[in-house]
Amino acid sequence: MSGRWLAGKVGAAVLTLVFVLVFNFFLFRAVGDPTSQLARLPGATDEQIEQLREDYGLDKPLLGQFADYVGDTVTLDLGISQTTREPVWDEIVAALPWTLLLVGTGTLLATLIGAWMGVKAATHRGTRTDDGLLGFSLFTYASPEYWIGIILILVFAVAWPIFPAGQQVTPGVEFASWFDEALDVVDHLILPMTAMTLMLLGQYFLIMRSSMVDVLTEDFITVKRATGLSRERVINRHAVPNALLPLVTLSAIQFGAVAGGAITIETVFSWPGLGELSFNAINDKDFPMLQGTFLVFSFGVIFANLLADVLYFYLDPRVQSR
Amino acid sequence: MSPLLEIEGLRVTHDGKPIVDGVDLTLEPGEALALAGESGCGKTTTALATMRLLPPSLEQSGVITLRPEGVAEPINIGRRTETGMRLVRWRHISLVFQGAMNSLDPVQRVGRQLAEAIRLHERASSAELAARIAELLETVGLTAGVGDRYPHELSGGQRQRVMIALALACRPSLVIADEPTTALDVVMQAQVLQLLERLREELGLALILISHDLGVLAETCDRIAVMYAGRIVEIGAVDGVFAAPQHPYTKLLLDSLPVIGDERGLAAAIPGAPPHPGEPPPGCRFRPRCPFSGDRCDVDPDRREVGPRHEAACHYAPWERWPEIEPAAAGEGGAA
Ligand SMILES: Nc1ncnc2c1ncn2[C@@H]1O[C@H](COP(=O)(O)OP(=O)(O)OP(=O)(O)O)[C@@H](O)[C@H]1O
Ligand SMILES: [Mg+2]
Repeated sequence: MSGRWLAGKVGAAVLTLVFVLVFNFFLFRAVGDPTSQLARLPGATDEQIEQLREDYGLDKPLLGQFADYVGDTVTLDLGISQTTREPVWDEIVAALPWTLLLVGTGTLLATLIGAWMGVKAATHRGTRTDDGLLGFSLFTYASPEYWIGIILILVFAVAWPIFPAGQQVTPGVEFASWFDEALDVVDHLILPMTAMTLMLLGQYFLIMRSSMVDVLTEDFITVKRATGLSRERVINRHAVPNALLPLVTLSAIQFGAVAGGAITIETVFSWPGLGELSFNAINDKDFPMLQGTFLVFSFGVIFANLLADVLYFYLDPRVQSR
Repeated sequence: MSPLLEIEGLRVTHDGKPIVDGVDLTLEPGEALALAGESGCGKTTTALATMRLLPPSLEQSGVITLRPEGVAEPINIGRRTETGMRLVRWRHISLVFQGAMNSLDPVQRVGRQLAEAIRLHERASSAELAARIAELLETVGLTAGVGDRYPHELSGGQRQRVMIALALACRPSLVIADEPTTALDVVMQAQVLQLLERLREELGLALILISHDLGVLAETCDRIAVMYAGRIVEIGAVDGVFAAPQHPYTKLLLDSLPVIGDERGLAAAIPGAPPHPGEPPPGCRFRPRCPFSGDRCDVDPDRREVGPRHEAACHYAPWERWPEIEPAAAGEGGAA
């Protein structure tokens, strides 16, 4: 029963992946002949361009190109970056951990803080606490993330320089131990992570608040109070576990989307993740790189959805018997 | 014998406007009291006030005294601290809630929820606890295996049985059942009510049963209290009240029961809508809908003795016989 359910979900994810693969191929063919972008060398001869087309397999018929593309992608050969001349896959592998670190810590913090704030607001509904939390979260929700990033830099890196303004480690430093290096990374992580947290917090807070408000009107809450449980225990043991379900799913789903959308924050903080990689790729019209990052982002979204389903499966017994 | 539960002058207000406006009632140990009345008249509010479980937006006043067997001092519900109330809840009064669907935590196993309630009020080893839970589930006609299930894995009837098991978990002396069968089909309804009746006899429980269904109430209860717009307008033995109602509202409620074989088929409901208890009409609250009203109804009537252990809040009670009314006349009354 449950194995079938999981197999179904994985099957759907794989199918989506195949679709993305196909779409990815045609999308980047549809934007025009890639060689017109490739041959930016001034005075490139026709022969050179022909050579390039051959190198990239662009002289083959479309179906052949597609077969090559699928074969290459499956073997993780995503081509060579136009700007760095490095394999796209290697660049992605180098950038991915940084994005995961930033998005992971940001999502985790936003989920925890958002949940905590949501519970506080819902249990103090209509009071100043609630108004204050609502106001704060709407403010962060409405603020563009580049603006949040710049303010953080201005305050905590320029006016009151306690954190570095950008990058992931202090350049040119030989660290005595991995621990010192980790500390340095954490130092660099704090500001972009805060920006990421603030970017996500408002939404998570609002979800948790409304979910909590709903749960608190349920009959079982009154029944639990009637059994003699204190209000705090009813909230912590019964209301919160129920109210968390939509938030956990949302943050899991979002995790994938955010990994792709970290472009702004990574750019503002010169954080060497996938976002910055794709931002530079766009600027440089680096097609293989763009195609590669696009694929990884899509994979991230699909995987995150699958993760959300699995999480929900373990958290909500009602899903398991379906 | 002193009553188990005594409610005197219970008032519940929301923003200063009353929702329950002076409810008095007493309940003997082991007695079953029916609480009837149209939707919104304050039945659930009264029940929750008895356990001091109203939301903070509602304010309650009045004296509620509970005298459970084996407890020396009477318990004054209004005076207890919140911590003190937590010891009274479930130990002495428990609750079976309206509809079975949402009365249990959907993400916890049934057995764990039973264990939680028991452990709040008693010390018990895991083995004792497991035995108690199995026994409770068997008492309400379920197998012990139900303890390992989640609420959604049970039928509505099973869930309501679990609720009843939960209500019995700490052997209270009073169970308040607020429309315990509304969400169930007719067969299930009958089964759950029979179960409640059986348990009440076996365990000597007192019961307050809230329902719209007068037939159900008549079958299950000893006494009936009829509420209208936040007050009890008539209270007495079920037999007496059903045979000779003494308040026009009760009379019309009983008349509106469909009678099998009656050529009228479905009888007319009471015309008009009840007033909100916070904004009662001047004089008698039922006057605008009452086909029998007269001059004395300008004054709000007090509830008074109109027969042996039978009280009603109507100036003209006791009624020797009810005047014949045309349906049209009743309609006029409703429009007033
Ligand atoms: N928390 C609350 N805040 C404001 N008004 C309330 C609240 N709870 C109940 N009321 C009002 O109090 C009145 C009585 O409600 P109550 O639930 O006690 O009625 P009831 O007799 O149980 O009705 P039903 O038969 O529909 O269950 C209603 O008019 C309702 O709108
Ligand atoms: Mg009710």
